[in-house]
Parts: sequence; structure tokens; C-alpha cells
Amino acid sequence: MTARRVRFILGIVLAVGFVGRIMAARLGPVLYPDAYFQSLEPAWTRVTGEGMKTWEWTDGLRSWVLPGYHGAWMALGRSLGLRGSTIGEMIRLSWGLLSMFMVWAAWRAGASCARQLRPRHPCCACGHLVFDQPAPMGFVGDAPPAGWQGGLVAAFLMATFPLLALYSVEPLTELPSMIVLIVAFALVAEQTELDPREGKGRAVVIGTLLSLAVCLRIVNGALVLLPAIWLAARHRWRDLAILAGTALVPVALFGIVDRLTWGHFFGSFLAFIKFNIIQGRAAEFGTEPATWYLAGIWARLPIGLAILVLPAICGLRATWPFVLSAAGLLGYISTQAHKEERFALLFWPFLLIAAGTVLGHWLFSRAPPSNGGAAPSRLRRWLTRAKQLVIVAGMLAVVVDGARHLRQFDFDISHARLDGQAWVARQKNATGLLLDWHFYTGATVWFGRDLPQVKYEPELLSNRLFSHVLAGKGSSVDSQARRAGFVPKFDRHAIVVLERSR
Amino acid sequence: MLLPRFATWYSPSWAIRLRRLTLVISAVAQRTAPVVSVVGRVWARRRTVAFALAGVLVIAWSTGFFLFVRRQAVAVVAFPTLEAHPAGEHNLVAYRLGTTVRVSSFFRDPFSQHNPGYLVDGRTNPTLVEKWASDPGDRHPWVELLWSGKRQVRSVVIRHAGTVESADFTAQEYSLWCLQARPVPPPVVVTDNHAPVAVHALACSGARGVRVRFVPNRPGQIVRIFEIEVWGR
Repeated sequence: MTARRVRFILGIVLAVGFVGRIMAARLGPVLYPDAYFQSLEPAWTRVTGEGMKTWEWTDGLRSWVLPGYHGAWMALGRSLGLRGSTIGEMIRLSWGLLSMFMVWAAWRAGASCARQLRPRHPCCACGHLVFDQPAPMGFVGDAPPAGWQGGLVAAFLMATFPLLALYSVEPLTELPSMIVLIVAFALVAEQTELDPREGKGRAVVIGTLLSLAVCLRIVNGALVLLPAIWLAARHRWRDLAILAGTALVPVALFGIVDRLTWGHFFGSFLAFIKFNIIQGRAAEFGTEPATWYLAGIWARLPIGLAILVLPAICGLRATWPFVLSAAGLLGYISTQAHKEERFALLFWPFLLIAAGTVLGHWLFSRAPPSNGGAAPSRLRRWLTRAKQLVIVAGMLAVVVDGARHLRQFDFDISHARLDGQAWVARQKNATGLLLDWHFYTGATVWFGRDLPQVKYEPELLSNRLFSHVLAGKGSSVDSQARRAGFVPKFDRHAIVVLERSR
Repeated sequence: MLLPRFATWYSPSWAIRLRRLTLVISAVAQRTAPVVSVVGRVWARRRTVAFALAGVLVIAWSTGFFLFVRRQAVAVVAFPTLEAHPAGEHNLVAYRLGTTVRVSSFFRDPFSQHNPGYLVDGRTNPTLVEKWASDPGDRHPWVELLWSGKRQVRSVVIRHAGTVESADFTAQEYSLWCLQARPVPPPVVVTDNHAPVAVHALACSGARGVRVRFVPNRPGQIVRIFEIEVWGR
């Protein structure tokens, strides 16, 4: 395979991944109200003065870093005259675009791990197993990097896995933390291949990214142990020291932001730890049995899970950091009483990289020559073809199986609800909007107009301030609004917007 | 209609069809050659392009962040103009006249949002929700009611909490101003109000709005107002 062809295939994989994320951003459902009420709503409230304040923001449980990031784009968008819904859709799309870094990371990590699977022989002088041939880490002339096979398949799985595409447009804290963590893991994988005297700059980046991942999502702190163990296993003590030093930079940044916004250094961090770990109050939002995540993962990929897990375990020699991270994450979060699917989302990239590495290695491995070095026999060639066919079918089965089981989310909010809000915002005669269930919307951002948008109460139907009602089609709110003189004007996917007629 | 055209197009022999296809491909290639060339040149300088793009994004985000940090959290409700102001004396701030309401803050709990828009909804029998309430952290709550053009103001009617809920919640201390009036009239200062519906004479001409500044009855207590009417012409 030439470098040009590998680049071309990688380009196609990236393009397919991006198209999938565009579709998820525009057509996919909204998966968590938290994505909108914890990341976007505080920023929108600061920019426009309109918005709701959830309890986390009253109790100081959240850092302002992520709302600050979103708020900058919102302030810029408002200055340019963009509508709230346009800004919101662009934020969803931008996260989809940023999540493509995970595809790139899968390519790099998959290639790196696949290089660890190449043949080795015992070294009598050093007492270790050493690789038969050196392996280039990058494109050299017309030759692709060694291990490109694993990289391509890992990137393909990461780009096309439907669940990840769907989640990758939600502005949840889990998403940026996951992106940063996976990129850091890919860099660590390559770092372990370098000469111990090389890679200072890369160690700085890894330390910053790992720390940022934990600051964005404290629960991911346990996963930082694996890269540290990985580097320690390769005796890269200098890298570990650099990593520890640079990790302080994001920590300091988050601490300062907390001081400026909540009045105390690490105020939101401490409040989060107190609420979730010391007081265990997350359980107030529901508890699930310890096997809940396993059952959920099985339900998402009943056929494909075995196709991913088996190769990942077969290539444990190279994939152990990813397999251990996936298993460790599941084990750790299963001990917590309150469970949500998004907490386990990080399981998938780890598994996809581990499985993709080995599947790629198997897929492109050539038929061994016959005894005497002659060309492989016809039977062997056919067996190799059959093996390749089975692997490709397995990869496609993972994607199809994943797509077939995209249902029964913790929250599944039709995008039409957001479109309904945006439609009302475009009406010149709109003076107020009643929402049947305001948490199942794009919050105040998607409405985006300086007009009242409040939770539906039957008594409010007689208040002429409210010109529109958004409700589920055929719901009690729909029928009450019709009786009060509202008529449907927007009807999409079981969502209806009614307008006051008299 | 479609079939004859279809037949005409497909009637020539394979050789002619192939020739046509070659011509089309070469024409497309000629037309797109400049685009391909530009793409090739961009690809050759991909690192420079990536750095430039990243630079633009960083500058754009920094600009937005500067705007975000400088932004003052003032809630605004700007109603569209559905009716023109009548000729005689009327309530200048009825929402249908295109009133803009600005408030220092509002009680924005998801389950009981006391939106500032309720101040001008004209409801005679409001529910407990249909009032403006300030944020508990707001120590100096204020309200501005703005209209288009210059108007003559005669009086302000404030329907306090006491009209619907406990009289203890009625705002006792507040002051009223006309905005941008010429000559500038003195503010009306109220220090011990107990009336649930308070009527205040506030005479000014050429005003573009009215501002009411409240002092919470007790530290941390929110201000609750059901309706404000500004009468004038």
C-alpha cells in the first residue's frame, strides 16, 4: 500500500465521519437536557439576560470554563446578528467537528498499537524480545507509517460508530473530556515508541491534555493512572516528571476561574466532590443496579460487542492500556449508585481503538509463503481472502448493529421541539411562548428572542402575552390550547406549535 | 413526454455515446481545472493554511470572550409593536404597543419563572406566577419600561405583591424616574408604602420611559410586582 493510497482512504474515513456528525447535529435527537441547561444556558443568560437557572448554578457546583467557552461564541454570534437557534446549531456542529480529533487519535493510536504487534525475536544479548524490523512512525517517501493497517481500521470504527456520532454533537462535559483524553492516549502510545531522550514537547502536550480532561470531568481522574503506568513501564521517568509539572497549568486555570466566578479557589470542584462523593447525593436522581452499564452496553451492540471484544483481548500485548482503561472505567462507574449512559460513553472509544488495531492487523496481514519461500498456495490465498471477507463483514456488522440499536436513551428529545422554538422566534407577531415541558427543549438559546418563554400552566393560556404554545401532538396541552383558541401552525414529528387565533 | 426524449438521447450507437461522454468529461475537466489547481496549491501549503485558520479561530473566540466578559447581565424583554399608541390618555407600557422592559434581574428558577414580561401583560386577575420577581442575590433591583418616541407621562400605577399574596411582600421603599425627559423632573421617592395598588403622580414631558428602583424590604428578600402601568399620552 502506498502512502498516497493510505492518505486517500484516511481522507474518505474522515469525510464519512464528518458527514455522520453533520447528520447527527441536524437530524439527531437531543440526548440530555443537561447539555443545554449546564453548558449553554448559563452562558446565554450572561449574554442576553434571559434564561433559566438550574440548581447546580445556584449551588455553585459547576465550573464556568465550559460556559465561558460557549459564551464567547454566543456573544460573537449575537454581535453578528445570528439567531439563537443558528448559534445553537453551530455549537452542536462545532462539537461534531472537534470530535473528529478522536478519529485522528484513533488513526495514530491504532497505528502505534499495531506496530507493537509486529513479529519479535528473543535477543540473547539483552534478554528481551526485540522487534524483527524497525518501524517508521510517519509517512516516509511513498511508504505509509508502519501499523497503518490498525490505524485505518481504528479510525474507520471511530468515525462510523453511530452512538459516538450521535453523542459527539452534544455539548456535555463528557464530550470535551473524552476528546482530550483519547488524543492524550494516542500521544502517549507514540511517546512510548520514541527514544527516551526524545519527545519533551509531546510530554508537555500530554500532561496538559490529561489534566484538562480531568478538570473538565473530575470522574475521569482515575483514567489518568493508565498513561502514568504506561510511561512508568517504559521507564520514561523524565516524561512523567514533565507530565506532572504541566498538569498543574489547567488545574491552576480552573482554580482561578472558580475564584473569579464563585469566590473561592476550586469552589465548584470542592462543591462537586462534596455533593457527589462525600454526601452521595447524586443518588437522589435515581439508582441502578451494578450491572446496569454492562446490560446497557450489551443492548447497544448485541452482535457487534463480541466482534470488538474478542480481537481487543487477542491483541492484549499491544492494546492493554486501552482494554484496561475501558474495563477500569466500567468497573469504577458501576460502583456509583446513580448511573447514566453518558458516564460510560468513554468505554466505546477505548474499545474501538483496541479492536480496530487488531482487526486491521489481521485484515491486511498477507498469506504466509509456503515452505521453501515459494508463493502461497491457491488454498492459502483463498483462506486469506475468506478471512479478510469475514473481518470486513464483522466491521460492517458493528456499524449496522450499532445503528440498529440507537434507541431507548436516558432522554430522547426530538429535534423538532428545538425547530418549533426556532420557528416561533421567527414569527413577527410572537409575544411569548409556553412550553409543555421546558427541560425537553433547546433551553432559551433556541428561542433566542427577548420574549417570555416559560413552562406551561393551564392558567397561562388566558394570558394574552403568550401568543404561542409548543406541545406534543395530541397531548393534553395540545387539546387544552386548542380549546382556548389556539390553532396549529407548525407540525413536525409529533410536535405541534399552536398560535393564538383570537 | 419523457419517453421520446429518452429515446432520442439513447438512439445513437455506442461509439457516438462514448464520444459524447468523453467530450463531457473533458469539458468538465477543463472547467474544473482552475479549482483543482487551487485545491492542489492549498493542499501543498496545508500547514500554513491550518495555522492561519487556527489563528482566525483564536482571534474570533478571543473577541467573543471579551464581549462575553464585558456583558452585563440585564434581562430585556422587547415586545413587537402590534398596535399604534392611541391618541388620548392611555397606558403607555401595554405590551401590544411594543414596550421594552429592562430589569436588573429576575427570579429564574425553572419551575417558577417570574419573567419581567408579566409587568406589562395587563392581567387583572393574575396567578402567583404572573409577576416579576427579582433575583434573591440582587441587592439593588430596578425596572425600566421603555416606549418608542417621546411621551407625556402623568402617573404610574404599581400593583404590588399585596394585591394577590401576602401584604408583607409589598415593596415599601422605592423611587420613580422619567427617562430622558426634558426638563428633568425630580424623582418620586416612596419610603413607606403599604398600599397594594399604589398610584404615584409622576409628571414629565418628552419622556422615553420610566425607571423604578427598589430597596428590598429585608436583605435577601426578593421584590415582587404584578403590574406596572404608566399613564400619559
